[in-house]
Amino acid sequence: MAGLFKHKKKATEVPELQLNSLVDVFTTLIFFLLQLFASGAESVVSKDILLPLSVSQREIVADTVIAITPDQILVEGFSVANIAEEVAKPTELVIPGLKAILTKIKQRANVWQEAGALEAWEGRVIIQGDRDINFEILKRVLFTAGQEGFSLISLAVIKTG
Amino acid sequence: MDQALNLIPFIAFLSVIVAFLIAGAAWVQLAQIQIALPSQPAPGQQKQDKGPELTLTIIMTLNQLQIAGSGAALPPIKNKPDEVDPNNTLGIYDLEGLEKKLKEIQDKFPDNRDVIMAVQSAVKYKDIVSVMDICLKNNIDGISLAPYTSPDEIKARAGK
Repeated sequence: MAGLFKHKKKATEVPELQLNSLVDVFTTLIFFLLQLFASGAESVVSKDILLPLSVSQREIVADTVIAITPDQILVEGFSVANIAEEVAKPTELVIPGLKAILTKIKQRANVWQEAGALEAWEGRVIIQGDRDINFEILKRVLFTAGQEGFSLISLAVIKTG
Repeated sequence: MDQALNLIPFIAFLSVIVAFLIAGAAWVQLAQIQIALPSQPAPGQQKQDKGPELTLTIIMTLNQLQIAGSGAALPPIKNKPDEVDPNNTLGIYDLEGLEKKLKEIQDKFPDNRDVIMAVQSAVKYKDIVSVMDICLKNNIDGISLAPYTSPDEIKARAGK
């Protein structure tokens, strides 16, 4: 009996919480999350777009973004054309709203060039297209971009590997 | 003097930072596929005078894939039945069949890195990217996209 009482007395002592290892875990987690945070800074995708999956490993570079949702075409987040209206014009390849804004972007780049910008304008564009759009609309976007001198075209995809 | 450091405010601070970073982190990693329009040289490629070119072309229509080259075309790779969605009467692309044929061609022309993808208007973007993936896996990264109009479509337009 005496042994049993002694044991109970020991159990009531509150051990001191060791927080050092918890701080280590948090610090590691922060480094990991900071890396993820930094890599995603230049690649914001509209919530209406589900990008296709791909094995491509080529890093995405921030540039002029043309987003194609199932309903609209957006440039830098602003709607420039309605897809249903554009598809209803079967003979026209150029999308007027897209052409107008790309012309403005090109003019803005030219002004910077004349002012002595350090980097030459290359006419890069990234297309963020929803995986379920048809080639019909992509073809028109590519044609319009090509007409405006945006010849370095990249398709944004979700990396699978 | 030998007092333990009070870590609880520091842990609270770290918890707030972790929560903020989890909310803002990019969990989906993005990549890009560089493409060219048919009139331009394919990305990263410089034209050299190496004699007759292969001009590898993949024709994508709704119900089949077909590989063609300069002056020749292989038999079409017909779609497989869609086992997941029986209502999909068009079936799904036989990507394994395409990869096998493409690998055979690349074994014979290992220097070729260009392909022209001629795509019918109604083909889905995700299917185009799937075919691009097969090309990338076979070291073909100079991808050009072009529209394809089938002879039936041309006849239908002419009849209007």
